[in-house]
Amino acid sequence: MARELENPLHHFELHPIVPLNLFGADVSINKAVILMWCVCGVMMGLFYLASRGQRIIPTRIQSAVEMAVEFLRDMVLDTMGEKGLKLLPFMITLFFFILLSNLLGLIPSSYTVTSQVAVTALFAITVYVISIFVGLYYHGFHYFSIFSPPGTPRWLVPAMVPIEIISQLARPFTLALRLFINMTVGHMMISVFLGLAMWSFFGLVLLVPLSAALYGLEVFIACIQAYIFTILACVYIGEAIRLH
Amino acid sequence: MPQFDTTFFSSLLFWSIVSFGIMLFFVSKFALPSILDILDTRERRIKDSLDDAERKRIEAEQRLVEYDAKVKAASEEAERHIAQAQQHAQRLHDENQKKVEAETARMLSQARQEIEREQRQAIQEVKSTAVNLAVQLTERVLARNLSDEDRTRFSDDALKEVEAFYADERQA
Repeated sequence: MARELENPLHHFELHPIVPLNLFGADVSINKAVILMWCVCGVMMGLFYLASRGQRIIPTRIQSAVEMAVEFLRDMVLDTMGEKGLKLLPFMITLFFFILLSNLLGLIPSSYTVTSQVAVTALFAITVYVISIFVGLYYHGFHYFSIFSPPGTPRWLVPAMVPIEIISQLARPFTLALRLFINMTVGHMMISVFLGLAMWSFFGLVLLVPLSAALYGLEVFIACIQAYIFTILACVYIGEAIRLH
Repeated sequence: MPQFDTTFFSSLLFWSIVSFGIMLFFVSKFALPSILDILDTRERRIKDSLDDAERKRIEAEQRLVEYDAKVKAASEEAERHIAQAQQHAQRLHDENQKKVEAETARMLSQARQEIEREQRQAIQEVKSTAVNLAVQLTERVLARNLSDEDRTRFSDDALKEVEAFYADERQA
């Protein structure tokens, strides 16, 4: 009896659940959008539980959220300095949004919002645009001196500037693609392993434990990717604040 | 890949902006100020507690030094008092000893004198009794009264005999 292996990319397909149109643009509600709302709900719940009552002796959830907030505040201070504290709410929102999107996507039958390149690209471009605005705000047009790092010989400047421009433009691409690919590949691997496991008893015995281990690894990757995205955002904006 | 299907890009971008915007507003206006306030309050309280503990520790150390000095002073004072008391007790003891010895000597001397006086008195009484007896005996023997001259002579003889008798007794 021939069985067909399920397309591992099938999981990432979207279908409109509630078709909506806004000024001619399609804003229909699909699985990814619902998961976004879930992320918002969980995030609000976490912050509500963490800040409710302003307890000096914290509960477990409060401790966890406070630790994350302090961790992010230290990260912002290390990479951006005191000036970067104005962007702390953005960084906290970014970190928790990505983290919860990654983690909620690991629940079977749910959807990983960050496996959508449009979403990761939006975050990456937002970070990049903020870094440019921050640079221009603090340094004016002198900000564009980042294309010619200090100490570059004058004769090398014509070569350095295009390289630096490419390097700068590559940042949002790498930022968006890293998160998107990590989330996509992890889910694809679990999907492929579990699909193969269904083919034979031997596969079941061998691949189900492997998939479970991979699932644990995915939880770790979900946290790491949120951290990497946030710290790189901090570094990029920090460079714009400090210029060099 | 389905993720590159541009059909849902507008929907995803719109809802991402809306969701992220709402969350950013919520975090920046409500959650973060509250959490930072708690963290700052806790940090301030911990710092105050540590400062207070450090201040109390320094105070305790100072008091310990003061108490040690007081205990040392009290100990020295007590030792001095004990030494004084011992000296005083020794002096009193010596004085009492001397007084007792003097009193004992006085009493002993007085007793000796008393004994000697009593002895002399007893001897005198014995002597007069013996004389009287001797005179009465002689009067009876002679059946008459003796003249004063005879009496004197007999009594002197009797006294000599009595003295001789006592002298013999003492020697014995």
